[in-house]
Amino acid sequence: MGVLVAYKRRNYHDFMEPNHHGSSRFVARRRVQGALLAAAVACGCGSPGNRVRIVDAVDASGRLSLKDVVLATLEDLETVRGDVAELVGGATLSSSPDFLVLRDRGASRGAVVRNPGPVAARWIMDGDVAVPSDFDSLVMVSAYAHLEKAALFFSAIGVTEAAQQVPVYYSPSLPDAKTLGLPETDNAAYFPDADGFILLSMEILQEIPFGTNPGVVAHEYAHRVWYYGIWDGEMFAAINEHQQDGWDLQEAAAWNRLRATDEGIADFFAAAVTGDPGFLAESVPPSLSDPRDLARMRIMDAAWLAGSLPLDSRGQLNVYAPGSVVASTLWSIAQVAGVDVVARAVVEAQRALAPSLRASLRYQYGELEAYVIGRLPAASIASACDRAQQSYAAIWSSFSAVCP
Amino acid sequence: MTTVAVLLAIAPLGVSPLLECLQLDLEASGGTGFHQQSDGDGWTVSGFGALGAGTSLKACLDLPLRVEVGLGWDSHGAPWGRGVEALEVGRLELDLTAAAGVGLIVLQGDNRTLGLEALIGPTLRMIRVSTRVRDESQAVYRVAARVTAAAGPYATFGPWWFALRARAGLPWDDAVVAVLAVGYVL
Repeated sequence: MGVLVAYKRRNYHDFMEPNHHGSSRFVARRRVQGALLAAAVACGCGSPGNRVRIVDAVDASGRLSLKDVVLATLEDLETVRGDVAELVGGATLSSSPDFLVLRDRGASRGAVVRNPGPVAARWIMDGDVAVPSDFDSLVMVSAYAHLEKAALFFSAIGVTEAAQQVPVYYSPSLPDAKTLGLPETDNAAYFPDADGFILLSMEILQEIPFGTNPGVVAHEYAHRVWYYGIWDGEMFAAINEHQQDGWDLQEAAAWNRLRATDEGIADFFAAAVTGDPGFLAESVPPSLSDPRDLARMRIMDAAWLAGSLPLDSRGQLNVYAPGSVVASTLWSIAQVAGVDVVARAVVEAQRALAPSLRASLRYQYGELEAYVIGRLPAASIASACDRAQQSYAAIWSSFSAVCP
Repeated sequence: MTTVAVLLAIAPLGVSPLLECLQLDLEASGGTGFHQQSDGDGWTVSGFGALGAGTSLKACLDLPLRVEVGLGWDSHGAPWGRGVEALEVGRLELDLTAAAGVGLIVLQGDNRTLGLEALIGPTLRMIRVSTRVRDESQAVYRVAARVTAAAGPYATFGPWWFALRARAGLPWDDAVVAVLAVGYVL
């Protein structure tokens, strides 16, 4: 069972086939628009402001329950649309496994997304709080709230793309899911093909839905930050450039390391946004959440460094195994250097690595982490190096420039 | 409310003539609701049921008027929760409706008629939304008023009458209910 898979279909084999192509806008406001008012009159539910009841963490442990929050960026509650996101319903996502036909920064959205339409959230008022009155409405409004929280977090650490409104495809149809290697249900993802997020229906997992889990939503948001950071928003273009001569083994290996690092970074940011290193436990069984608990120290397996790929129980590439080492190491460093400090350093590291990746698709585990340590305040570097050394002993020489 | 107002209006005629000319009936109705899904993925179908009473004022005022009150429930607002094991949302809705309108006879035979009617009036919707996150539950209650309109053909056979109606909130509440109503004139 795959969870939180951002680029699942870009599996190793896709790239081994020789011929495979393969803000300042965050201003609090209480705007009641005409359409919203009309809808409120029609349903007799009252006119909402920006106070809503969602599923969110209610204490320091990260326990999720109902909580009243103010959505500063929400413009329209019925269509769940605001500065950071717009929920899209009824869409059919039909992408292509061929990278050559995909364009970056959402330019292929019109070709990839068919029949997009507005959602129609329902609520009743409890005092001045809008209470979602059906399951989908609760998930959609909660997801918006968690996206807003993530966007504000990233905006505060200098991610300019966090000011953009991003489509969120809620329970879309995925007729080509099997062909593309995408899950049909029980998942959430950043979908670079359309530069949007996907929230799939929960059919198998019966825990807290991904859309209502602030950590999961922040994880997906971090994938978009990665796309705009380490790829400079030009992932498809960069890959196509390197595909001109076909993929070599080093490029394929680098791609898999980047995928694993992407997952680890996303888990780190999920913990950073929520303050909960075990954020996944609310939504999946322990067999899936424990291997990704950031509070546990993990060791980068020397075999992975040598090129042996970790596989999951189904024999597919398990990017979460090395990713969890990245995540727990950064989280551990953040405990001594400060979460915001490390988060900012990670964003800077992504941008710093972008030009070299565009020029030459080469990447080794630890490159980004070493860069992060190098950006920390001098007082934190020794402690950060100590913690990193425990996880990256097999490639400790990679840290020699920042950890004397 | 509408019924009371009409009764007061014609009360000066006297109680006895009033009771004689009013054609009170009891009615039961069932139908199917079509609701726009909140996730934007088309429409869902629900079951609808209601009990009520009505009266025709034709005998009293020689006007093709009809007044009704009723209490209805739509399974779209189900008391049981929907969702996943860890998170459920339930919504129970009861509609108390009063409506008045016109009924025009199109065909009239021996002890039977066929006509068209259109009714409009206020609906008091009582809503209970319950949300459960694992073992913690919250419930919110609210009463909301709106306007409901219904229209369609009707037929009478002796003391029985039948109506097929399309009903919706105004100006639009993302649902249309097709109702078959059966009434018996007392």
